[in-house]
Amino acid sequence: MANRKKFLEQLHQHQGLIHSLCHSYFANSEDREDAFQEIVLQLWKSYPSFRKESAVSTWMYRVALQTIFNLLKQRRLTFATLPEQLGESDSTDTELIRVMLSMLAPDDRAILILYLEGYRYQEIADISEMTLTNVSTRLSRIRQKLRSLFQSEMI
Amino acid sequence: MSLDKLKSNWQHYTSDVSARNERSLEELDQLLPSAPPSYQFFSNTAFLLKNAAMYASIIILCGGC
Repeated sequence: MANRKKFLEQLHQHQGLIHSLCHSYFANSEDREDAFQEIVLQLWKSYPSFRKESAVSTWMYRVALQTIFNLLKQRRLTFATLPEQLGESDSTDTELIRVMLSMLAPDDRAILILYLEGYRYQEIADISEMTLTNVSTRLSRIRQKLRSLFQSEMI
Repeated sequence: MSLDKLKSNWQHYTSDVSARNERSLEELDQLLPSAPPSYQFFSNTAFLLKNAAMYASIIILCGGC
């Protein structure tokens, strides 16, 4: 019971990261709700084996991303080619993130999100279960895409 | 525009999303099954290694029997 209470408090504190991931990957609100519920369930199931060697948020990112990739594979949920517009008054900041994410495949999207969250290359590699070289190569590819996006906008 | 400059845009995006979707403790509680989660033995690498070593020692020790 105490375990459940502690888990819920941690989930409540870090739920923003799950919502951001769901919005970054699923265009449809029902798919987002399904994904959110599935991620919460998977986190709860794996909670007893969380050994606190990493931060709670790092563990949550790992489980959440694995769950999202499984959902995309198994249930063929609607992958957000362009993440949902948050409102009519979307700021330039938010719009830029939407455009950037829309240019990327699911695994590159995960790498960019983790980078923007401030994780180091090695941590990104651990969370996304990729090699350090792979992460570094992909991030430099993402940088090139960003550069070409802004160059083409200036023409 | 560099990736580092995008970090503040991302913070803005995530706080927007979080503000619109935040759930209360009670709402989150309703998403959990009532039974506590069972310990996933086979996802625990240390558990598997310890058991593999134990069974290997038993096989070696009893090899001549």
